[in-house]
Amino acid sequence: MRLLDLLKITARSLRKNKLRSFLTTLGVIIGVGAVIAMLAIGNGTRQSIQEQISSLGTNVITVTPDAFAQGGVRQEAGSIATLTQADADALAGASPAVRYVSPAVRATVQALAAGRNWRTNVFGAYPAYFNIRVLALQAGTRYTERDERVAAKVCVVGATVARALFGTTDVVGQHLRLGRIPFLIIGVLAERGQSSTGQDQDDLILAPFATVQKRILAGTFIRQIFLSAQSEARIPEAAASVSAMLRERHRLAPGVANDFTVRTQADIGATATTTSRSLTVLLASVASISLLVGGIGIMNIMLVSVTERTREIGIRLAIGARSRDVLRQFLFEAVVLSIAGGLLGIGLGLGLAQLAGRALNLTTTVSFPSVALAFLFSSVVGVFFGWYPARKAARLNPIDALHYE
Amino acid sequence: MTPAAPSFQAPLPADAKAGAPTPNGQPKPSGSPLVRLRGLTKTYQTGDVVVRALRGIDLDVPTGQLLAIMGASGSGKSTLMNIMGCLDVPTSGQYWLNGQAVGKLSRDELAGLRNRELGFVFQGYNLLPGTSAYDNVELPLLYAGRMATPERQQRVRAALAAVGLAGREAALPHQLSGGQQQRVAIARALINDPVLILADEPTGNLDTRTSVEVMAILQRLNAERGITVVLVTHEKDIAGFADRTIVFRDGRIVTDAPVPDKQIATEVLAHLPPVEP
Ligand SMILES: Nc1ncnc2c1ncn2[C@@H]1O[C@H](COP(=O)(O)OP(=O)(O)OP(=O)(O)O)[C@@H](O)[C@H]1O
Ligand SMILES: [Mg+2]
Repeated sequence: MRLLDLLKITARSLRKNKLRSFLTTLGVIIGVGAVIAMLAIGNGTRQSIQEQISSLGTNVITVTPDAFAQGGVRQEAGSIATLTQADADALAGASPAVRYVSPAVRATVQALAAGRNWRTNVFGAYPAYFNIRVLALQAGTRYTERDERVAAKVCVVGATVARALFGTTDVVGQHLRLGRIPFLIIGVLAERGQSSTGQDQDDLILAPFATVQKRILAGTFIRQIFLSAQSEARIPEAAASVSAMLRERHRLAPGVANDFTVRTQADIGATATTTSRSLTVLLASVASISLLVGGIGIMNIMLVSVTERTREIGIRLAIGARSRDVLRQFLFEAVVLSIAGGLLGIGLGLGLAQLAGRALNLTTTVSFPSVALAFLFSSVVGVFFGWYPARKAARLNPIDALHYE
Repeated sequence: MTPAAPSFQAPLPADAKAGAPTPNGQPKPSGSPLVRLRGLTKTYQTGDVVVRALRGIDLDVPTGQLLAIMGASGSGKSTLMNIMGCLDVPTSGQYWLNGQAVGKLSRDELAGLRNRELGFVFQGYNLLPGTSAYDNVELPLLYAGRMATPERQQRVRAALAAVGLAGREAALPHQLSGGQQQRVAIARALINDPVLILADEPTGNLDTRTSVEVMAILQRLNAERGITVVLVTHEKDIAGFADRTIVFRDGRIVTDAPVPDKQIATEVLAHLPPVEP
């Protein structure tokens, strides 16, 4: 039988049972739709995490203290934090691959101005921090090396802080108080909006490191050291020399574990990517299960259909259909159903991805491979689950089929 | 295939009642019969119950004959028809169709035989429901293999015209009367130019006039195309349109005789009272 004739016969019999055909494909429609939407959500999440990471700045390396060294080897009493400003300053000369360095501290403070107050974080870091994190200003200027040297009482505020205290972002030249200390606002950060974890990235104040450490925290430990490498390619080189220099400065004998952790942007990216990839895999496998269920639905309905149409098969056999004609007919029906389901499912998936993107505030991107994969999978489902019922139909005995009640 | 069989391409008159069988259309009895059955038995076993539906049938049907099979209900007529139609296999015995031993054929070869050499007409019509007359008649051509679409269309139309259904191509079975459905079934049976048409109680569900109309078509196919026809009937009148009648009882042939005064269906039709509108 010619393919065209087979198509004709298939179309005829599917048209005869429109509702059943639709219900059969529903499982595949939902399955394929779910796979595509889930992959899109997974990709969107990964992308937003990636954006987040690159918003950290370019070529960023961070060093954080480990409060307790593994194995309890470290002896220095009371030394909870292991990084100092001196460490940070020394790292500037660790390697030519290192471009900027800044220590960083953070304090949670109550900011006051014009009779209003606002609880926020104040970050103390060198002016280089603006370069490392690639922070832009929407108004005013950043503080200078001189401000740093003299622990000037100046600050740069995020838009959220500005609005909370003054009701506007036009606040350069205004004063605010952190505790009892008055600060002059010399700049306002460009707005960055929410992070993918839902944090407001504009809810912060930046001030010179010395100012925050001496005037607000009154301590010597630091929370973190930020560095940037000369280029992305030189990140590993920079990270290695940072590590080596800190071990030397901390007098760690060979074999003793680091009392600090060096993370490069690539590390952070890798962790995040792994996390979001496993999220994608999880979502996709849940969706695949629904596709599988859809396939079983096809098989179920095809089996019912074979039983229901036993007489039809008998008639076809009586007028000369061979086993393979019957096999092909039913297999073809299953494949056409699942491919139709696949196509409709792609539509559904695109719609769901759009909706989910809006609801989760993500840019969901439906990739071509995911569509191709879902489509391929749906046709494989058709062949796989259509095979058994089709074979069952093809093996019927003509006379038994004809006399089937 | 019988090369002697007239080509299908010779169109028949569209109206079934118009054409009378021509005497020279009657084929001469040839050497080997179209159907030869020897010692055919069929035993059904359902649980403990054993039914011997056929108990040794010996039968020759020469090419071109119109044979009627009669007999009480349950005497094995349909069983024999199904075996002759290659839909079922005998428990024992031999069947030659056109000199070919059917018992040796594979499942696909049997399908090929049913498709090209045999045509079925059932009591219950057995049309595909929800499928137009045209599509029903076309189906055996689709299974037969490659054929150019215009030729196929022409053949389907000609076959429907031959049974008096020109113009009803698009009709669905449930939109047709019983007689019309049976005519669609006949058109389907003859679309591949078979050598043998097997009709199991083709008029069983039809009124007298429609029955005679159906018989007229079968007689005409038999006479003009030399198609051998075997038909099962319970009615003596219908058997009267055949060349020969055999009677079954309990799985055996008890009577086998030529019909002394064969009726011509078109003539009988002319004498029937006209249909009430
Ligand atoms: N598939 C089957 N299984 C068991 N017994 C069967 C089967 N088909 C037919 N029979 C039995 O075989 C016998 C012959 O049946 P068959 O259908 O050939 O009769 P028939 O002469 O065609 O009768 P009718 O005139 O009523 O159509 C019956 O006794 C019937 O019950
Ligand atoms: Mg019967």
